[in-house]
Amino acid sequence: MSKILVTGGLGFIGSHTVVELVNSGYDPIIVDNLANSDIKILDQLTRIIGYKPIFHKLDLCDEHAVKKLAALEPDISGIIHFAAYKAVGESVQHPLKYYRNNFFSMINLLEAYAGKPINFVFSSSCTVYGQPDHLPVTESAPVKAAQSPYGNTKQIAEEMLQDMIVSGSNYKVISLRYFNPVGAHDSALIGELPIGVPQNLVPFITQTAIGKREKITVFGNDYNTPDGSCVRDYIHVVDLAKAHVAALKLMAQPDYNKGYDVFNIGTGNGTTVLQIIHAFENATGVKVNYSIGPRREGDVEQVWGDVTKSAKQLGWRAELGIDEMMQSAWEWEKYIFRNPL
Amino acid sequence: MEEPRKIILITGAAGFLGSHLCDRFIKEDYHVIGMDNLITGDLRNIEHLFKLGNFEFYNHDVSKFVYVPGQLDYILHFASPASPIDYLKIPIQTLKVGSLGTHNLLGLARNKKARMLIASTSEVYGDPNVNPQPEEYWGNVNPVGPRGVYDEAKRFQEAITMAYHTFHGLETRIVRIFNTYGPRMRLNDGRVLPAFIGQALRGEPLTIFGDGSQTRSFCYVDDLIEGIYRLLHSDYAQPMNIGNPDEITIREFGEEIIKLTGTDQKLVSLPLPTDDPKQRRPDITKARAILGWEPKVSRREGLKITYEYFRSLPEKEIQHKDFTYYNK
Repeated sequence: MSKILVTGGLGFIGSHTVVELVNSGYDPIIVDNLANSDIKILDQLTRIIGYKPIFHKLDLCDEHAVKKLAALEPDISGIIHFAAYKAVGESVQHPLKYYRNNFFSMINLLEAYAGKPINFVFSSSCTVYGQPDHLPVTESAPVKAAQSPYGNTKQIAEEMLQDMIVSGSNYKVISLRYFNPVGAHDSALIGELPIGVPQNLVPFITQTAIGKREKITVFGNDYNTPDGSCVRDYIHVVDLAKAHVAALKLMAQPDYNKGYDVFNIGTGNGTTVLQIIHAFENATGVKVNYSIGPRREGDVEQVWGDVTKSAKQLGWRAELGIDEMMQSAWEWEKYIFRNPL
Repeated sequence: MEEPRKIILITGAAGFLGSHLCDRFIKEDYHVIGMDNLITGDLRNIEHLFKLGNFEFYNHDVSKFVYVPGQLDYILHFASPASPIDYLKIPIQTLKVGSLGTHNLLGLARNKKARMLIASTSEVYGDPNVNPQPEEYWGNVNPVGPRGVYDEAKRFQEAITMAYHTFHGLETRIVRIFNTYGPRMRLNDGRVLPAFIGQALRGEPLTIFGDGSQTRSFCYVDDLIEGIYRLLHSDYAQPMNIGNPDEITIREFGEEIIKLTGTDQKLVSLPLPTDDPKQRRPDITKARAILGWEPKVSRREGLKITYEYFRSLPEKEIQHKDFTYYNK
């Protein structure tokens, strides 16, 4: 079995990817420092995959720790690098914390495994496009000035990886630019676990529906969109997880000859905030209380991805729709309400 | 200038004693590197440390290669199956972690100029002909008996550790641990104390093997950890007994448990298994003289804490029956 290191493997996307790796016959090795995840997710994963996956607790910013990891896990064939800070607002307040964490961790990891033939999948984001000039946005669209230190860490990390490949490297790298991951595994045993007030729409909806929050504020209804609220490309986290497996498989093909490539990972469809709220209500039969507020600083008006390249070259396409996203997110919210971790 | 944190590697970190050692060295502000392959250890024992920046954990079998880059000041080798039901199930791994694992770690200690403490055991005395057992007693072990895999692994471990000390001048410490109990023992690890408490919690009769006249002495885990902490920082390289000399027969012990749990169970007797030691009691003259250590926690006090721990476990675990134990 091919061993794959999954950094941030107890996080939202990481944990779902661990499941899909096992489903595809890979042997995931989880690394996490628990900074923004819960160790109980390891037990939840055990229940889904039927065995306790290997887990190492370390901080990737600690160079010695990463060298230890590389010595103890020398025979991996791939790395999926999720571990990073990801809160946009916090990154504006604490930029150095973000640059230190997101860069040092990746550099330590890349250096520790230097010289080995490793397929590396990087978690990037559609945030690199800013407000695109053309929609749907393709991978060749220009990268716009970052709106936050968080966004900047993704842009610069992509550049670092490209530079490393240009210089001649043992690695092959695919960056996946995620659109908006939502939903949860259909077992309802894993899902998104926001700390404090959710920064993202769907956890906010489910927390409001269950009664943890009083109401949702929709940030602006005067954008140039069908109903005036922002448009995003929501993607089911299980589909997103499968894209990582597809990227590993692509790089493992004997005739694959690219050092670096980048793919959009979305559904190719835009959905407004208000449409999502209504889709949630329709899919679950639960009403959510919302009101319209002013625009939120830093929000782009609308973005959705062109996924032609992913379909053609990665052989991957999103299969789950908005209803499945809403239903699974709701099942997970109900599960953690009944069974707090 | 502030002194940099001391770095300590603890193998068997998710086990009963290993996890308590992790707690102690974290409390003393060390940087702790835990390793465990989780065959008999349980991550729940160290879960509460995972958020700490000065705690790392690696799921790793130390019988294989072990590497720690950078500074390393101390190694505590506590990885090993330690209860008869475990080492009878995995005899080869038990021999390997005591021999190959110890060899790997001694090499690492030598490379890092680290001080290494190994967890040895009163089992090196086998079924002793002298009571209590001083460190000078050579033991009475059947190498090919069912318990030989553990006893001989630990005897070899002592031998190779002493050889590294005398031949390479490595700083080593050897603690011979007598029966220890406390929170985080496994309810089904086959030892007499959790077995009795488990049976009491389930309302079953307490099983004793033979007539119950064999004796044991039980040390509360906090006392043991204190002894190990002091031994590590002493300059004494010969083996040292750490245990509680307060001896009790298994029958009396069963009666104590019945009293403690306030139930009306009876004791029932089954035939005595092979090579079951008839008596075990540490002579702690050296620990008293050299470390100024002696046990502080009475059996009454320690049992109460341990009973509360077992009682707080999920009902599912309490009901789980896997109790072919050997009155260790």
